[in-house]
Amino acid sequence: MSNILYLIFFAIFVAVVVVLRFTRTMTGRRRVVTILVVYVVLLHGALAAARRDAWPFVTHGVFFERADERRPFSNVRFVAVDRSGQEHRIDPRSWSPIHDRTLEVWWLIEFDRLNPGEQQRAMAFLLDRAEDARSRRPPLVSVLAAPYWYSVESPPPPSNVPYVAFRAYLVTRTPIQKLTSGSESRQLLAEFRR
Amino acid sequence: MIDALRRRWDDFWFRPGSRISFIALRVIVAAHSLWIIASRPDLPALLDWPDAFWRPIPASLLLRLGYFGLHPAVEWVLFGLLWLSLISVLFGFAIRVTAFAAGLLLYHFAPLDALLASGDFIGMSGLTVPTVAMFAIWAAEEYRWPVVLSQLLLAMSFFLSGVTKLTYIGLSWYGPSNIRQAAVTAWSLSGRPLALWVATHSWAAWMIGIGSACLDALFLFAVFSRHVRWIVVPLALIALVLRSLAFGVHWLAAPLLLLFVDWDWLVGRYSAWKNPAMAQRAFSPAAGSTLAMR
Repeated sequence: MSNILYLIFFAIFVAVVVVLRFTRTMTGRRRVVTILVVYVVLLHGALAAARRDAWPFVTHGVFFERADERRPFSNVRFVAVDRSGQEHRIDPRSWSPIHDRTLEVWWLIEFDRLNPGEQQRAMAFLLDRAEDARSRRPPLVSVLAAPYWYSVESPPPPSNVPYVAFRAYLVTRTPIQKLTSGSESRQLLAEFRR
Repeated sequence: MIDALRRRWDDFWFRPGSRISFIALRVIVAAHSLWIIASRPDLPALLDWPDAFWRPIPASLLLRLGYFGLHPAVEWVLFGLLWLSLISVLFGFAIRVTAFAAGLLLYHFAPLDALLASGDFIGMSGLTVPTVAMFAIWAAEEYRWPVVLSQLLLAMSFFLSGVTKLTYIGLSWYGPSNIRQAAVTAWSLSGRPLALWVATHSWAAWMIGIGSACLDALFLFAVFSRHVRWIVVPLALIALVLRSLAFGVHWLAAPLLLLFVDWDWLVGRYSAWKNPAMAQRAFSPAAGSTLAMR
């Protein structure tokens, strides 16, 4: 329902812009520009009050929660496994055009909703992407490319060994404990072997 | 009273603007959009990912952003049209068609890489201001209001970010304790030395908190005051670098800070440097200089 409402917000914006484009008199144009500006400002205000985003009218950034160094903090880590059983971090660029973080969120929200066959197909696809990226050299222009908005880990060194399995772990750490003892735990969420 | 407000409003939005600043807006938003799009050259390939990835995504979200199950080849053609329309806007070619097309196609493609996360992070693409600005450029017959509207949108992103921090957490979001703990959390994820450095230097956490509060509160005034720009634009650049290096959060809209540069002044200085005699004539009161339009 909210998506339809957001589409209507955008459609109203475009409609006002179209009216403006075909308004000829100076008084009329000023009136429509005023309507456009007031609409955009009020819409942003209303969305901020409702704690909503309605692309392309965006009010939220990220990280608005209260930080707590004693609260356990989890993320999904994707790893590939070679024939000898050695695990390798997967280059986040393997998932291009999406971002590592996007795939993590998709995994946490959606993966369990898939049936076992779909889960296997999804992991087989991700393993293929990881293997494909491993065997390819990164493009030289990547230093000039816009980064993804959230990139905390630098790409791992390329592996010389082909990948034969894919694993997803839930990695959990308590920041203050990791600071003092370096500890974090991990739990295997899913595995796919070719 | 109402008449005075109306006069102020009209003066702010509709006083004569300069063609240079309008061209700068066009070039900045088009070049910025091209940079982001060129950095994701395989964006439509996402639509070829297996159905397992797409099945859980709400149909209404896909419909809203124009994904009707078109053939992937059609999406590639549309992506090519986005490139062409942005290049046309950059060079001022057939703006009356291409800016509108660029706006619609940015609306369609910019959120694509966030769709798998059910639209989370949809505003982090760095393309929100360009998407709206393209429609303003298309509709504009005047030079000033599209520039001011684009500046206002960028400034509102700071202001509303501040409002959101206050409504979710309150003033303590900016406090040194919260900043320090956020740095520890970021370090526990990324191992970045700068995050640990911030976490262990309380004065740094204080400075970041105060700087963030100033940025969120003051950026809106940069739309109205050239003096404020001298404070908030450098502050935004410092925040951008710090957030990238310590927290791994990259503000992709950063190049749009160029919208706050006084392009008339810059072009005037450049002209004076290139050709002092011509510049002297151009800036004489009788000639009605470009700067006089500011």
